[in-house]
Amino acid sequence: MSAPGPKRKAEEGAAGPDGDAVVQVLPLGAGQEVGRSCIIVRYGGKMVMLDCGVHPGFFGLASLPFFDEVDLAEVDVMLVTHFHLDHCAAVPYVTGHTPFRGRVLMTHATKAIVHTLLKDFVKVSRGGSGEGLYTEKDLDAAMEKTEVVDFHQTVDVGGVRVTAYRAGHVLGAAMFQVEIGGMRLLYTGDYSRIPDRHMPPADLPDQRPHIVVVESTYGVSRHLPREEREQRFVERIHTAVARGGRVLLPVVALGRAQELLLILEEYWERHPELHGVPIYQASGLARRAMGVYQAYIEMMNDDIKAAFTVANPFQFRHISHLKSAAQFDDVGPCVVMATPSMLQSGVSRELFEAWCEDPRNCVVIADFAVQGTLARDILGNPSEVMTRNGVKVPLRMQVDAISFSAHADFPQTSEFLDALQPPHVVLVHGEATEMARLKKALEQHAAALGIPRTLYMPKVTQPVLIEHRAERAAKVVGRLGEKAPSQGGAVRGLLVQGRGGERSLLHADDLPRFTKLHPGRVVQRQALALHRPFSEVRLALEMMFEGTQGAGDLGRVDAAGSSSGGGSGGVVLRIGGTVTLAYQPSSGGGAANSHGSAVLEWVSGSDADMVADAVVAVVLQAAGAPPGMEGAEAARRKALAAGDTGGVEAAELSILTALLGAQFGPARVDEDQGLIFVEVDGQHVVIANKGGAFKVECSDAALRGRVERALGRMRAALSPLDLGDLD
Amino acid sequence: MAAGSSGAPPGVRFTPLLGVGGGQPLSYLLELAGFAFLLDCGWSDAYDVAQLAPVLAVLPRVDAVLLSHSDPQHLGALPYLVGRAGLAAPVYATSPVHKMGQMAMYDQYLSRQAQSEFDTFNLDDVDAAFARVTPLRYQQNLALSGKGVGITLTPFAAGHLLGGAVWRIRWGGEDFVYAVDYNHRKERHLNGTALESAFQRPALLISDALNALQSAPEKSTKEKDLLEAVMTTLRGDGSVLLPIDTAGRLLELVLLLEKHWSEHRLTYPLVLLSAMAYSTLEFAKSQLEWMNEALTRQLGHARDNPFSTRFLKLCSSREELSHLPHGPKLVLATLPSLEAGFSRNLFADWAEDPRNAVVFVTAAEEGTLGARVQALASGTQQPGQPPPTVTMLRAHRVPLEGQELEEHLAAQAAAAEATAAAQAAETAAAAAQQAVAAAEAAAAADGGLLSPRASRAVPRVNSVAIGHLRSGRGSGGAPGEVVAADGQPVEEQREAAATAACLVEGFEVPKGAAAPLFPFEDEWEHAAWDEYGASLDYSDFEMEAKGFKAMETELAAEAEAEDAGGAPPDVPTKVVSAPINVTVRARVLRFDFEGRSDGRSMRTMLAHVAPRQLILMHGAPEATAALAAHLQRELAGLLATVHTPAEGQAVELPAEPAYTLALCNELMAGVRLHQIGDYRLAWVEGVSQLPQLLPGAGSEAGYGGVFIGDVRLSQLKQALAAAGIASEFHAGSLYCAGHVVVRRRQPAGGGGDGEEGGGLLVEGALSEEYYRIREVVYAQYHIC
Repeated sequence: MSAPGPKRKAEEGAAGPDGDAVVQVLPLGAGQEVGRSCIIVRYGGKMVMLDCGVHPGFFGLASLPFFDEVDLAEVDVMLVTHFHLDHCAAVPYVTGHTPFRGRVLMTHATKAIVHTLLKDFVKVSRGGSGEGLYTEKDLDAAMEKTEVVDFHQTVDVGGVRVTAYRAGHVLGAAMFQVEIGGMRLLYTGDYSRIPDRHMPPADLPDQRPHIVVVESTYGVSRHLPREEREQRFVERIHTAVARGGRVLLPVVALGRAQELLLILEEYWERHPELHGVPIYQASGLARRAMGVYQAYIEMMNDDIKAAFTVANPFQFRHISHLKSAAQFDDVGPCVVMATPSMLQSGVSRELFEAWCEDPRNCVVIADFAVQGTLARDILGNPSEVMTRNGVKVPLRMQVDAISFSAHADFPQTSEFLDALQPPHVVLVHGEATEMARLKKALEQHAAALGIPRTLYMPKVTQPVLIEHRAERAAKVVGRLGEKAPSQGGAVRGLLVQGRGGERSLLHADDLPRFTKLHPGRVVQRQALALHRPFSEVRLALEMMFEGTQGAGDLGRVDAAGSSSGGGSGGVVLRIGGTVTLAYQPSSGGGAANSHGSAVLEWVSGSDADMVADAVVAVVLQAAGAPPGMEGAEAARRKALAAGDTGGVEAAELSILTALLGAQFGPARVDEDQGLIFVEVDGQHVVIANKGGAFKVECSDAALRGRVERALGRMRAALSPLDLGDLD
Repeated sequence: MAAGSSGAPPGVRFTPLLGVGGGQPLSYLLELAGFAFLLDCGWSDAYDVAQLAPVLAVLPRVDAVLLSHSDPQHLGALPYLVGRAGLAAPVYATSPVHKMGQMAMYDQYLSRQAQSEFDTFNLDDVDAAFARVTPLRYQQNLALSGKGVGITLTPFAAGHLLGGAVWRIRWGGEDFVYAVDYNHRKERHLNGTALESAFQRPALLISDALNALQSAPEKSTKEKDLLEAVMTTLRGDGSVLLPIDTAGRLLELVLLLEKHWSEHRLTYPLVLLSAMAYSTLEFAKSQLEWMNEALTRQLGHARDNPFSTRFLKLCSSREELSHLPHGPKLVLATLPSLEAGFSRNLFADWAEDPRNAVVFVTAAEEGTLGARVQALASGTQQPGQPPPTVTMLRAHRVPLEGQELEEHLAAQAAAAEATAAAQAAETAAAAAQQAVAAAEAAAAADGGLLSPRASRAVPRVNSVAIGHLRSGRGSGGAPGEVVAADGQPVEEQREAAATAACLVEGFEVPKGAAAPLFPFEDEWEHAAWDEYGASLDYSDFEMEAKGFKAMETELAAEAEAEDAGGAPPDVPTKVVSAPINVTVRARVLRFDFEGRSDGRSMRTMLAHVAPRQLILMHGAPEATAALAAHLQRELAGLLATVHTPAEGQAVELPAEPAYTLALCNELMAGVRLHQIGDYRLAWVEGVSQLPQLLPGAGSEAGYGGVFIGDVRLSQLKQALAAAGIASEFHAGSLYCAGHVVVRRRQPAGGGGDGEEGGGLLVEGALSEEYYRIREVVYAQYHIC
């Protein structure tokens, strides 16, 4: 909306149409892996960055996407889909420590939560491995820079049209449709097409995209129906606490945690026998972000909105918040929800290590576990695990994985793509094996349905190039639009492309009607002295221009009717409809006086300038007209009058010869063969007349060009002009 | 979107239905190719059905309704049109306009209903009307289907009120923009309008001239003035009445006053008195994304919702207000017109006290009490003159008593009989329609009487609003919500009764109990004085001899009374009114918090948007004329037309023939785009091969010799100097070396004594210099 920053790139016009033809999709992260989502899209001289996260399995700089692969200064806009760290945590690094100068967009809720979340991230990462990626100051600056976009809004960022759609997944999660010069690309981020307790399902965009960049976290697996998952989840917890065990739920502080809390709250409400078992929520972050959840209730689904009108569904009765680990009194069966979700460090890791040797205890992994994290390791049922102190301890506690992470599974992805029917699908955000299976399954599915679909699964830093033929259309308006379009008719005019990218084709004089531009106007008035009788000049002009329709009409305007004609005895001629020549004999003499002055006046333009130059040439050379010119002119006039086309052609050839001779050097004509020979600085040029079309032959290409251009102008001066096109 | 290459599109017609003059409600009809948009449907404060005649006349033709703001001036007639006049078209509005508009209309109804037999529309009509609304987000493109296929609607921020919209209707590649009551200034709670940044040369702009002759004071000074006036009154032991709208400008005032109260730690009660107070603020809390970024940031940083007010007390009845400590207070009360609502009664009570002040922040509609009182603000009081007197009707509801009640009950019984009879008939037919007919018969039988029942038969406040009212305040403030058609208390009331029952449940008197609470007597009871030496009077401790049954009924009655906002609903009531004379001794002040752009900004913005056709509405004749004349002049060079039609007078815009051609890649390859300002231009020459434009046969396609731009002589002088050509200004002309003069020509029709036609004139003798200078001149232009 606001003016884009200073352009760092070469002028866009220079990008040329060749650059338009290929869309480049380049994952800097999340290519055949889960984590550090960051995908670059390049097209038509624009560069868009989709998400900017860190890898949860690595620390410090190693966790960043491969930013070195591109010049971040060229990125026009960065779009952040949601507040999970693998999608947003690198934003302050990019805005604060790289040459990135583009704009940053996210939804309102995402921005509000990202701020809270990253503040925590800054503290944690500084505590963990010495140097953090960035400071709180960088974070605040990044937030200051971040602009917000609402769902379904379309925002134009210097020619990149961005539309945010609901993605389900978590509060504020968006899918982004990026439209550049008619090319539409949809990036799903993490999405879910199934409504859950507090989020609505992902939207189905109403426009068909050309390319879809889709997550493939769950590959070809299928989620259990929601009810069944919830049932299994509460059963596990119930049996564990019933046998006196403790239940650990490692979760991401925001997103799934709220969903699980809603489930637990409801279950506890229905089972009074469980009321003695406390549920703890051990994330201060989740507690603090509740205000955001309440403010953006509009973004959640209808059930929650309806519930909200009675009481806040996020005010829990059976769940207590733990402010610190010290507050936690580990005396008996309990349920603790703790962060981080993959047991890398923090409270969840502490509790896990404390509880893992007791077989009564239970840990339920409800989020997706990334390779290389402890949460993933224990899913493989190892007999012992390594604590953070480097001690191996036996793993006896029950380990369960019940997926509540709101990512699309295979049926969802497949249906989503069937509905959108994009010809190109790029898979990201998934592990290589799962991704390959998904690719194969989607390909087979498309082939079975007969939908054209090409799938790509690029590795990190491996670009995907997709050809795209831009469709451009222009609206023909104003006086050009009034003429009904005719098949094969010539259309000439100004192509105007507005800020929004809309194009129109219009006549130059319509510019002020449709734009805020004015055609410029330069009127020229050139005075020259005449040293010969005006009649001679006039004769020469008539010879040059008369007889050719339109351009040749040598009209006579009454001196009194012209503003520039001025004094007595003046004569005004109009030549070619564009140039006026006012003749003023010097004082004392009459029209017969051989001295006087002529004033040429015309409005600048390529045609008028040419005519004016020709008039000047004629006036100056009236006596010294090219040899043979007068005779040829007379012959032409005669032939025209007689209707002898052959004669006219021959005469025109002679005229051209004379003119070429005057301009370039010795020229002669071979009327029988219709050839003109010109010698220019020792180079020979042969011009062949083939039924009205002239072919110039010359060994020197530059000279040939010059002659061709001159010939073109001469012929334009001789042949009828279609004035209808000019006006 | 594309109009295709079909023939010339039919024209566009605009008809002003209401609101040509300023201060009137707005309603216009815009027809695009037979698709009719009703742009706003306001109603004035009198709610006079006759006023809607022009709207009703076109109602069957309306295909869609667009709402721009959430106040009655822009949507007041919607409940009536949907509920009573059969408007069936879809309604489009932003979600805050949807929510806040509904609040505003509830408040309008409730305020009026409390003081008159208002039956032009009821709460059900409001619910039905707003159920029709499709809520949209700013900049959301909504493509219409069916009859309107090819039309895309998009709301843009307008400023003024929360969610206020400037509507863009895009059709056939052209933009038709409806922008009334916009505000370019950033306010506490709103961002400025997107009008200027989002539009450029739309085909049509429909706008207003309301403020065309106003000049706006600085935001900081007007806020300071207002606060100063308020503080002076409060410190002088007076109270301030600030009549305010239900859900619009209120939010701005709330933020301003909250901030002031918290900065200065004031203890004067700051009160919002409105039937919808709680709901309005609740909705405001969840609509931060529509407000100023600073507020969103506040939520992000401090997780502190700016509308979680710490000082503002919300009251939804006079009774609640009376519970507040006596003494000076600032009360924001609806309605702003003083025609109904709490503000009217408060005015009658407070205006006679010279210590008090009545502060207006918006202009009241012509003919209302508010307008009459506001007129007093401008006239300075002469010390000797007696204070002005305002005559007004004071009305309130009282329960029916004595004979009236009997009559009413008799009528009701008759109605019930009629219903019973109808039901009996129904058993024979057992058709659903008959039930309706019966109910109608009943209503008709009842409606003839002076009874609130008829109008109360249907009301049922939307559960959302009630939910807030109940959970937050425990008091409805919505008379009429609790009575169903058959006179039975509906759920809310039953709930209230149940709550009352709960309260006394554990205290059932055991049989044979000696005393209800303290069954044994203490010895100190016989002491003559207490521990501190004061003598004791035992009659102080005695409870009134009242049975628990009596207490129970009392409690229930209290709960009911609270629920109904003072008027026990199942008791039939009537409106009692009496004309009174109010001597206005209180100070009357007026500050401009309208939140609309001032005249100068309007002129600049409209000239910048530079619509090809401009229709000016909603302004005093002189304001409209002045703005029209200014813009006509300003936009003459851009060939724009300004229309100022009278009421009912349609403006027909000629159809502009156009067709669409696809530009093939081969053609575009030869095209050189020049970036000029916001535009990119190129000369294109080709052969139309419908629907494509193919490159022409080998001409110089990329060059058409069209000059674009305007060159200033000073700029030219610099360029000449850079090219090594000396030049000098003399008498407005630039004299260059080699006897070449460059001068500016008067614009066409400019009437100057110089040469006309616009542009530059290069004059000189034929010489080499001439051509060099000409080259420099040419270089200043973009030549496509």
